[in-house]
Amino acid sequence: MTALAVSETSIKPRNAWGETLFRAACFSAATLLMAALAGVVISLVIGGWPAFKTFGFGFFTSSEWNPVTEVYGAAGPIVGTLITAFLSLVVALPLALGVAVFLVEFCPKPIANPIGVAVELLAGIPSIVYGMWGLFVFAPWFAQHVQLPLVMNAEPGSWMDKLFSGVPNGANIFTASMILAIMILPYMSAVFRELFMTVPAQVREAAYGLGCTPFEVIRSIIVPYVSKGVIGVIMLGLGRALGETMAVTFIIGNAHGFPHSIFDSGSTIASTIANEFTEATGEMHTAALVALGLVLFLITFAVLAVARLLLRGQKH
Amino acid sequence: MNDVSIAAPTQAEEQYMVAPARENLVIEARKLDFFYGKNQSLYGVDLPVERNKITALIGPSGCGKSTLLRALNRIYDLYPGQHAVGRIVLDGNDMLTDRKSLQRLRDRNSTGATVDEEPQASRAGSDLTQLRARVGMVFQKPTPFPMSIYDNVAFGVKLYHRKSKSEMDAIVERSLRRAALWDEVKDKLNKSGLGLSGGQQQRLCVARGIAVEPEVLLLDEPASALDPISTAKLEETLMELKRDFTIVIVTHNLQQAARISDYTGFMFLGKMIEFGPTEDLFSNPRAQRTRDYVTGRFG
Ligand SMILES: Nc1ncnc2c1ncn2[C@@H]1O[C@H](COP(=O)(O)OP(=O)(O)OP(=O)(O)O)[C@@H](O)[C@H]1O
Ligand SMILES: [Mg+2]
Repeated sequence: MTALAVSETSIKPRNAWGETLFRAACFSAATLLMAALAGVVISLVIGGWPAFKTFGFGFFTSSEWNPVTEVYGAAGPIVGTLITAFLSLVVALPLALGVAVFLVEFCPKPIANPIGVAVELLAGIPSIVYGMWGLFVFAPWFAQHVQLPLVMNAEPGSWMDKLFSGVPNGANIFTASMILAIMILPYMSAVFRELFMTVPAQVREAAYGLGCTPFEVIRSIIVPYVSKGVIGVIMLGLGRALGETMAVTFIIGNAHGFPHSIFDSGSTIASTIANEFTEATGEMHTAALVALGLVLFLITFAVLAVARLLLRGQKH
Repeated sequence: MNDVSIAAPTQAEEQYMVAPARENLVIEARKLDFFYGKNQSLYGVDLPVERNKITALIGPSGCGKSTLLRALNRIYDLYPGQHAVGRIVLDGNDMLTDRKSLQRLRDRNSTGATVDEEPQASRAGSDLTQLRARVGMVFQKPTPFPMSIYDNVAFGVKLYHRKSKSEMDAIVERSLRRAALWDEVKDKLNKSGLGLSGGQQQRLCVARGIAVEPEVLLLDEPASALDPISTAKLEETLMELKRDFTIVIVTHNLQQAARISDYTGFMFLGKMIEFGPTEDLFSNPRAQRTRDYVTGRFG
């Protein structure tokens, strides 16, 4: 009836059906996503429940992970995950900022773009390639030229000995962190570069026009201008480092215990799951791995939530 | 300069120049060509700027007014593709080609300065930053920095001088008053400069430019987003500032140019068509194009 009334006037008839359909489609897409997410969480909770029930809080605090005796404590992988992610970020962040600043402010224009594109391409290389390189090239080199001399020269019992002790085969927490850093470096550089390029040219000109040096412009104008984005990029990098699986599995040494030094072999949540899922025969073993998955989910979720909170407090 | 350029305007036009006495000039462009990459935007432009006077640049959109200002404090240096040929003379020293004169300028600057105004040591190494400190610029589009209103104004001052809190407060207040912004922002000096309206941002940028007290202040349409009252206040400020500074202002408002400027230059298609005392140029323009423009027949 209404449709008839509309078509009789000179107003162009609008397709109300299409409008409704479109809205419904968008709504169901959003709902589907939420439902899928909820499904993942619920199944992780259900699957991991036996482990939580059996080991209780000890699942998080104990570092004994023994499929033979069916005792599972995840402190080792959890700590390994946090340490490797944090270390890699500490190394990658200043380098990534430096690369981006160089490309945007100092690099001669004709080569800035090719380098920028190269960095972006590096960011897209599959992690397994980095892992392989780490295992076959970086780890042996590191063991030979860094780890061994350090361990040999450390006085037994000194802080150096404690910090650096470990089997000198290059497969340890530290090398894994470095590989992670190398992996997230191009990614973070590329995003930082994009970010810095969003600063309006006029604002940069105005700062230079006052007589600023390039360093003053970067420190006082450009970085503050994109501070929100900087935190976002850090969190994205951290998220990537937390969840990275293949490269770390290659090189971290895959020991379940609590790492005793930064040159000790260890494991991360992701590497543990990747290593053991196919071999997990016992029910409890599977449950423990699923529980680990849930923990990783929660850690990553927490990181992103903290990022959101920081961003909210940062409105210009 | 006998540049034979294909891109030059076809019409060979005479240039009508009535320049101020040479010894009164503070900055001067001589036979300046400017290139954005391969595109030439200025053709042999002369611009003599007399000390403690207001010089206005008028002309239709795209004629090269902003380009000329950008050349005067060499902001174009940020872009490798852009370059200028000719001479820009600041106090008798060529700023464009002669690095030695920049050096001389720097030496004189650092010896002649009083103790209070001694440039910080870290800055001494850079010729360009010195030049830009003496030739300040306020851009056509407002460009507040991502910091508080107070810091926006104090920022430039902090680059060159160490001031106590109370001294800085006084500078910030005076600059904001001069830019006709103080009353609107005095209660929110710690709020971000990005939260101001477009016109307020523009006045903030004027305040920032004034605060560092450059010898020459280049203003690119500083009143384009202002209401009549703020505009009037700003004009008052400029008249007052010229006692201490030298001002070059680009404006599309011919009445404004006539009201406040001592000299006016009319530009067209990258050329300086006519330059002379403002009164003469408006009441008795010599070039046909100038006459057409100031009587509103084109533009
Ligand atoms: N970044 C740039 N790259 C290339 N060409 C440019 C650039 N900026 C300006 N131009 C060109 O230079 C010429 C002069 O521009 P300019 O901005 O100096 O004009 P204007 O007189 O300030 O105009 P308006 O009154 O509109 O501000 C124009 O033809 C313009 O197309
Ligand atoms: Mg302009």
